Amino acid sequence: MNPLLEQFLTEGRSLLEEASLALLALEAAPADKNHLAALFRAVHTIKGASGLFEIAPFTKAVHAGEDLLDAVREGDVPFTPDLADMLLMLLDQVSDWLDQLEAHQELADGADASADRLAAKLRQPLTEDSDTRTDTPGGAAPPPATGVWPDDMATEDKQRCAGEPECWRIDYTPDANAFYSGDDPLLTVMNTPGLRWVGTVAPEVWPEPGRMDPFEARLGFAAVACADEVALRAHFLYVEDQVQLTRLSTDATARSEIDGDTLALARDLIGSQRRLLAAQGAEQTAPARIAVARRMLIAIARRCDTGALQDIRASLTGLDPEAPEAETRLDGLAEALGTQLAQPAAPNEPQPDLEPDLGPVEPKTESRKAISIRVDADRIDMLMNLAGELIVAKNALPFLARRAEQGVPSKTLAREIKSQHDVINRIADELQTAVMKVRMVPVGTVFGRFNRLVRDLSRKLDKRIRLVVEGEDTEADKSVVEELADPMVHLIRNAVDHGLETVADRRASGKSDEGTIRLKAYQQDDSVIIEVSDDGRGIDLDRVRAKALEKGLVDADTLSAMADATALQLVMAPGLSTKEQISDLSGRGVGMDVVASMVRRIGGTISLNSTAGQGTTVRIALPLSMAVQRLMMIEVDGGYYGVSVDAVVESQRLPRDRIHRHRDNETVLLRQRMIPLLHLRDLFGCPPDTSKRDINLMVVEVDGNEVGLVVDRFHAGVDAIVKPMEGLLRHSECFSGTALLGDGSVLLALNLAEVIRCRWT
Amino acid sequence: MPLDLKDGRATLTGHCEIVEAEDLYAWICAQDDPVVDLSAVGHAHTAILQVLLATRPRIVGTEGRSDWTGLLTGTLTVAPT
Repeated sequence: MNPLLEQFLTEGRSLLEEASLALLALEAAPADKNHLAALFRAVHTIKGASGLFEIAPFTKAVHAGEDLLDAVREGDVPFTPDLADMLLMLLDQVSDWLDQLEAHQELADGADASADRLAAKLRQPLTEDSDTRTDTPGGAAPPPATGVWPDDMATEDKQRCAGEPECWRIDYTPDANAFYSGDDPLLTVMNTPGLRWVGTVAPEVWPEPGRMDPFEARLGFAAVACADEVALRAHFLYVEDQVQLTRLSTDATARSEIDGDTLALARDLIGSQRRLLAAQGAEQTAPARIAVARRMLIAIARRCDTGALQDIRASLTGLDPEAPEAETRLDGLAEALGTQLAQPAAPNEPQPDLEPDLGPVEPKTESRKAISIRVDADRIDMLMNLAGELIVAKNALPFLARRAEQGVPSKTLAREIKSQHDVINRIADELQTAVMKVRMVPVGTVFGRFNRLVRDLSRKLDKRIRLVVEGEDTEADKSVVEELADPMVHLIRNAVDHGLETVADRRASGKSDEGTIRLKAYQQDDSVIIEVSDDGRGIDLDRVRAKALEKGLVDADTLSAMADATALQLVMAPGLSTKEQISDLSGRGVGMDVVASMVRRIGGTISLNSTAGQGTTVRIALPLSMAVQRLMMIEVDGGYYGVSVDAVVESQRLPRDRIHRHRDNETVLLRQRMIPLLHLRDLFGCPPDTSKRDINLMVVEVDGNEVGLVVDRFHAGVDAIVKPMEGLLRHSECFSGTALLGDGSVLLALNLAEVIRCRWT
Repeated sequence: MPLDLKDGRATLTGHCEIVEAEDLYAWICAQDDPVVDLSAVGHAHTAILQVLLATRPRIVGTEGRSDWTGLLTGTLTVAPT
């Protein structure tokens, strides 16, 4: 990628972050000029930088936002929550565009249209609220049609403009020295958006042959274009003093704008046609069904056609309902039609009508991997020093080789090699620590995004929510922080949606109107602890128990013996917390199993606390760093596997006769605990090995459950960098990844939670 | 070479820049019955169009075209896209 663009993307994202923080702060304190200044500065800088690239729609939209902010700053336009919504919409769109630029180095098709829409929306308050700013182009209400159609334009050409929402006459009279400033008026006119007609305006007399300066512009143009004013003004931006725009009157029937209702109806109809096609019916009714569906689809396409559907219309009209394969082809066309109709609506209208569907909030915080991180200069210096030491240590090796050649006794040599190994070992350790430190980023980088999430949710659900963030400076490995975003979005959504009550309910239970969501991060030993708590209604434990029983997750006896704290964890059991089953539960539970599995996948643990009426706290403990893990090596049928040392409770050699069998379940009694056994040989499909009198047992603990893994042999522990599986193997969930051993062989790291699931569920 | 001037016939090829306007103008003014062949022209700078409109040479090669060359014979109608 172009380094300039790369820089722009990095800077743009950090400016966006600044802008959205400032915007949210401004919303909380609209009178604070500092927030407004920060917001304006960020938007202004983004606009300025975007001008370096060929992304006119981007610049146009951000420019409109800047103008709006300028007006707010001047006090011409008041800052309202609706205005904040609009600006957030702009920031979202800009963020999408940055993603597109990163992926394809250009903006996707349709960026122009969405930029126009966005710019018009942003400029609307300017024309509405401020009489002093009427010179600002654009606006929702175009000026009255006062223009006169060009004389040379044929009547049928004029008629073809009828029904367009906006039609403009353009009179372009270039300056005499326009050519010297690089203008090519002909080119500019020919590329006018929505151009319908062009005529030349010649001077009254041309100079005598041979006496004309060919580099002096004398020729003018008159043109008619059907496009909105903003687009036209943007097109002629550089020559605006030489261009005059006047609006022409057309018999506007607003043909090109299809309203949302029609579109929704059309989509429904397309859906039902496709169901009709897919329906299994008597053979002889098939042609009739196809014909009906085809007629309907043609009607839909005709009604909704704004020009983009011509191909589909042609294919539909040309389709023979009697032909073989007609059904499949028609279905394909219906799908294409559906996609076409969905296109303009989906990306361009970022839900102006707020409805309590929480779905769309989520993807905004999608885990985007940071392309660059900011690193403290001291940490870089430390790396530099270590690199120096490493080079010195390396230089000792040729010296050792020479000693070996000289025939130094092998014992002495071995000792020297070992001492050199110690030196390199120390440097490697320090280097590792230093690199880990470089990778440390504050969790606040993720927390920052949640302000926005909570704000949007609170507006959607009409609940008053205060987000309190503590310990955002706590640092964790960059990969941990990145992976944190998704589970936290779920948790916060749950807390807002299911945990916090409505204002009325809160009053009824004697709480303050405003609910509080608290995000807290702190470091504890080698873990980062993240707590998400709310002061809502808490989890109704009886209903959790009832549901768990109903879903058959536990039997009645176990359940009645289960402590409350344990029963609460059932919320995170898969099966209990699928959406439709639990959404009526008065506590939380939507997707908690998903959250739990995400957290476990990154090597963390999750626990839940709740007091009815007082709130719920979810506590996530994550490893500080995911990069280096201490693994215990085990051997099963000649293969080596790694088990995270953190999970290992103990290792034992036991005589075979200690195993208790009950049907196909095997257990051992160890220190007064019944421990279920899992033969890894069974799991990996290896033949059982019954030759030995003893078994090697490794007791591991996963989510509070102890399981005894029966393995062939134990080996030493190793520090390993576990890399996730890639390609075809990425779906083998029993393994969390692979690590390279000192002798070059590959170690498979077991994903214990999944291994246990394979056996018992 | 976008501009080829010989035997009373000027042939414009491809994209014609502003610099060609001077040569074209001088050449047209020097001819008795100049013919300008536009059949292979792409876009031409406004200055070229201006020279052609000011001098009105015989134009060939614009039949069936729907681009700027239409402006030499009258006005241009652009079909909505």
